Amino acid sequence: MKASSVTTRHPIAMAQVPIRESLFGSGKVLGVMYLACFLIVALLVLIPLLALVIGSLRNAAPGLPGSWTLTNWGGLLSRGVIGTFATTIGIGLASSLASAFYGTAIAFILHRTDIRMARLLAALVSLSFFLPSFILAMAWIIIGSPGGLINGLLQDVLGIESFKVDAYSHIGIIFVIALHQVPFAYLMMRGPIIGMDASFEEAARASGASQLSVLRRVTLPLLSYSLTSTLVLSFILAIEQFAIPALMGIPGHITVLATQMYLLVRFPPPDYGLAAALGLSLSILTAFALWLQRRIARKNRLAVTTGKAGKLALVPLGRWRWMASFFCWSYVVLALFLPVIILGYVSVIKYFNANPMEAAYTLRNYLFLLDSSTTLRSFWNTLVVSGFGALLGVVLATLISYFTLRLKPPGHTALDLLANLPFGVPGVVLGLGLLWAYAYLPVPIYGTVTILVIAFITRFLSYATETIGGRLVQIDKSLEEAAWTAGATRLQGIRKVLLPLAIPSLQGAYFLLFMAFFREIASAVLLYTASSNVLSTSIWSSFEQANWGLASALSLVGMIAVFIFMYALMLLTRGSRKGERSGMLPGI
Amino acid sequence: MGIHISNLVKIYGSSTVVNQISFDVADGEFVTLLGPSGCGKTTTLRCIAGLELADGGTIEIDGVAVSDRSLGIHVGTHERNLGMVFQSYAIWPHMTVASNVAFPLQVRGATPKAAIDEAVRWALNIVGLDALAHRHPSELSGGQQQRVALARAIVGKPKVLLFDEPLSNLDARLRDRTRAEISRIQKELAIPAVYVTHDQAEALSMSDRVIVMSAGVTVEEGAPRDLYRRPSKRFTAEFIGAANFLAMTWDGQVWRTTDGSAVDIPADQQAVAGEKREAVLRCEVLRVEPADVVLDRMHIALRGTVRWLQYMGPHTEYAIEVAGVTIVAHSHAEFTVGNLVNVTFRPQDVHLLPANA
Amino acid sequence: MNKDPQHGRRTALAAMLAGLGGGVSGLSLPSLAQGTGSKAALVSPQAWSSVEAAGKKEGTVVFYHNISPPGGEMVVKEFRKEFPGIEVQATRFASSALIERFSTEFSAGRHLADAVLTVPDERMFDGAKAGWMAAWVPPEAKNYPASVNWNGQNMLFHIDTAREAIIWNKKRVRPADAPKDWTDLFDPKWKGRVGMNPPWRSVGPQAVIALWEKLGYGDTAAKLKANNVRFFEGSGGLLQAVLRGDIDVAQISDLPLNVALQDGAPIGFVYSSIANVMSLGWAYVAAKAPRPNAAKVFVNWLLSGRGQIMIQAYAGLPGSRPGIPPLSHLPPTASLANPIDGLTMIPPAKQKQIVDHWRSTFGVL
Repeated sequence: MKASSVTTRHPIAMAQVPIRESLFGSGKVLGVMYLACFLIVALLVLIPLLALVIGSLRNAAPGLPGSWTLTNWGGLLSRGVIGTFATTIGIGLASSLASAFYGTAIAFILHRTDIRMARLLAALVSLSFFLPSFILAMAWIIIGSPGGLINGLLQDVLGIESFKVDAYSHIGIIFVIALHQVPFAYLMMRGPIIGMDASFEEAARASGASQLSVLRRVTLPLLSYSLTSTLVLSFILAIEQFAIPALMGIPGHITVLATQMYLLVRFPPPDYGLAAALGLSLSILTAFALWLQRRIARKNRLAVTTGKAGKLALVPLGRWRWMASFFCWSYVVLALFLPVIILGYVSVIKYFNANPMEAAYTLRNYLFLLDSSTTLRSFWNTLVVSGFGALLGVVLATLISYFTLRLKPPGHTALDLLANLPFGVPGVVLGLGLLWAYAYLPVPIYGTVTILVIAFITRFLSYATETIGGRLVQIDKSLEEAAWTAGATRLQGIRKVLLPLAIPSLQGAYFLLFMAFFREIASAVLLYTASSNVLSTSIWSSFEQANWGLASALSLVGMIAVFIFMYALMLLTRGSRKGERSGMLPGI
Repeated sequence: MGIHISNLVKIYGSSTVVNQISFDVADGEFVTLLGPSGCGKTTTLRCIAGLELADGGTIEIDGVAVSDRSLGIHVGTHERNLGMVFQSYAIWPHMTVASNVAFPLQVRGATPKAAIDEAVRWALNIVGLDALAHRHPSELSGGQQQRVALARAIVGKPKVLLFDEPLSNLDARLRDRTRAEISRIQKELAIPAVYVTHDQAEALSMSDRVIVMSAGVTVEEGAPRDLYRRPSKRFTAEFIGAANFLAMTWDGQVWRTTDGSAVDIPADQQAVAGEKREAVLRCEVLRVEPADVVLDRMHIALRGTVRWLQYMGPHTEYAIEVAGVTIVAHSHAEFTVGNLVNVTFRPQDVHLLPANA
Repeated sequence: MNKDPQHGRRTALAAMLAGLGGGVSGLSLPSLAQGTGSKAALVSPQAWSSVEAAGKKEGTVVFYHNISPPGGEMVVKEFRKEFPGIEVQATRFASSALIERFSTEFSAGRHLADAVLTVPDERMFDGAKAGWMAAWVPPEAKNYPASVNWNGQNMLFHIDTAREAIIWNKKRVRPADAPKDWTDLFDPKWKGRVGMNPPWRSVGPQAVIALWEKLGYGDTAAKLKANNVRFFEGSGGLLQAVLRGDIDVAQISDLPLNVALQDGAPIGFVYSSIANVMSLGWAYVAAKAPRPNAAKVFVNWLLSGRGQIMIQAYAGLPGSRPGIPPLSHLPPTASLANPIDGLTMIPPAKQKQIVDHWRSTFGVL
């Protein structure tokens, strides 16, 4: 006897008394938490965006009498703006391609070949992720500007007059942005490259393919989804870069959207409306790219990773060994060692001199820092904003991940969308939106560190949800179900089963957020005041005022302090897990 | 009081995955839900556990209604006093064996610590894992993890035991051993159990009753022996054990196969001339003889040709074309493809399926 | 003096500029300060000590300023030595950004700043009319000429003066080639090696550009574009660029210059012999300041002898107070040829015209 298996409305189903399983079926506590979480995220994300939309339709600065207008949006069609758009996209494409290539290559070399000191290199590349962009810009200006070290070398030492480098150029900007983003590409591609099922490649080798053929015909195609995804995300990050184009682009008359917005708002005559329209259009661009990336990532779930941390046969490098080592080490030198050395040098000289033998040295920058109340306040604020803010961010992200990936109450797709929206909103744009919103909302957070915390959490929430969510989906549902059948309520199941298993990813998310908050400048630059100065804004304002000595000293001291803090945290939390890694940095 | 399920319905999207399933499990009884994947057996089990929200029908555990959509009743999983063993065992990797087993008692909060330790010792003892109480799951083998899951399920003296294909991840030899253990423990504790599997050997050996399911409905229900020897549905016959089917027609006096051979089996029902029925012939009741051997009156013989054979070790499996169909039989004798043989069996080993099978 | 054909023209120009009121001795403001309007009576010492006491109670001053770092904080530290009970939280902004920030905060009703020191533009004077500033007279004002008090309004007080200058890298430019006056900036021999602060960024270059127009130099934007001028952010940035050798010659506001020269930086400088532009720094106490008394104590200190000397030492700018010793490495303003208050050169319409023209010439929005 065959039963009908396709029924649109079963007669019995229609006789049901509805059970309030939706929001509160899993308990009132969880239901309330869900509502609160949803509300918080919605407010965080929508308030600045709404402020921007409103601002783009007005013809006066916020708070001043004005009227509604479409001229701001019309202004987008002017030649200047279109040119800036073209420059932004061009720089974005070039640098994201470069960084994705370099980063993927490094990931492959470090994790699939027998290169020496792979663990050290991996740790160094990951470390480079946290170097703020303006430090890279400063270092490379010193190295590559018309009066810089390279030209000095070429002319004074080698006697070459015809060839000059100029950091204040498109190439210069692309180069430094690419350097800055290589670690991102590396970290994104590392997982798929490590997780690849070795049997695909082994089958190819068994069929007679050479190492290079295997790479070309099996490995790369298998990675294509991850690669495309990484490319798109890198593109998004590249077009919202602020500090590098600001320091390196302006002397060369190169403007990108992010710096353009900043100029429109900071310097006269200010055009808030146009800035808002610009910001929104930049956001639409990045949002589109983000949507593209999510579609690719979703397809990729039918992935090549089997989760079998298998015995991957390492590709022997043979005579390519030196090339590969050079390739990887040169990145670390260019992006980490050189800038830090230059940073140290600049911090101890009175005024710039390319020749360390002839420079006038001084410790006054460091002495000033030790005695400066502003600096002390910056450190304290940074601790609050980064240390405490990251904690809040992790809590929020954990809740969001749980609701969107496990519990899935009604409306969870909207929550997921909201939480990820700000990734596509450039920092400067977000800062502008927040400036407006909170200058005028009757909420007394303007000018306090609270608004910075809000800005950073809004901006980087998706980093944390990706980290935590990625782990949550790996925890088999049956582990929670077993807890329920054993008599645990949902809350008890979360507390005793889910959370303990997810803790490493929470720690990883905390570190990630902490460092992201620490190095963030774009969204803070419009919001900080004397009392809410954090390290990044202090350093930035010194840079902006061309007091590189002070900026360098502050950067070095700041970075050392932060690393000590993080290392201490890592030690504290490592003890709790026997043999389990925090997952933060490779090998750590 | 056992379990009482009536007209259970579960709908996913536009398909009805569980369509009016009803059955009871008496105190101490072991009932298996058997069927191919997608038949709704696991969904039914999860409805009993409360992990799925039933769309219709009622579920009662130990006399208490835990699910009844028409009255708006849905008791949460954690309040149903169950013990459940999952296919993946679901042993928590961050807790020791003892902590895993103690969990159901700790989480309800009602038992003092000393009593919990006592209960854990008892449960581990029953499954034979006393020595491993302080190990971590990552140090245990699959079979040992399975037993931890079992200990955890019974430690709280639940009202009902649920098993979701618990043996499918074990290798064959371990499966046999563990099958016997589960059966023994359940009988000892006399807790009503519902067991889900697609493996008919498990179903036959462990259950008091088997419910055969397909596409969301119950095909047939009965004791293992009855289902095996005298199934009333072709599906059951096919699914449980290896079966050969022979189409037969009643010519008024005797049943005949399609090629006219007479099969002289007792006509235990009123058969109408021209009526068609199917006979079930299990492999193990068939013998294969050379065609020229004289047979005794106790056996019915059907002539056929060997089409295909496979050496299995204890016997050779032969596919023989008889009366237009291919029959599978086992024999120690050696034949080759193309040999003419007689497939013989006793009349009482033939089971005629009912007319509407 | 060479009897070159331009000479006659120059004298005529000089006369015209003098007519504009540029050649006033020292620092008085041409069309603005008249000493008219009610001059509030000088504060009695008794009333002032109660202000000081109230200020100590308030304990904090939020100070927005445009002094190059770390000069601002050093000045503030000196203040702290004299008034240990008052902490100054100073934030540095570029002058226009500062006015922007204050304006936004004021319109939004967020009154965070207590005291402000910056080079103003028309927006600030509009703000004075709109009620940004408190009306009071600092006791120290009695040591100054009337011009220290803007328009006699008892709101804005003149603290320091920046002048526009031309600098070059002494290690890369031979003395014979060194620029001598404004027109040298357009000389093709500096093509790609000349730098400037972009006019859309601050008021100083706007005033210089206006001056160049008045001096009849034509479309200086086009000329500098032809000369591949490089823009750097702020005078500090320009100075750094010259030191690094990115450019050889630059036009800057001399804010960072004295400090650099004190350090021994190899920078040569020259002021125009035709006409010079000044940017006056003014300070005020916010009308809605959360801590008005402390702010008044602070601003008053900025006008005091010690305060002015500290400003000169750390901010590298000549103070406004008569009688204080001059800057260590730069000439006093009075010795410059035809110093003009830059603000007079750029009424809002002119400002906009210059900025728009330069923006479109250089393809910036």
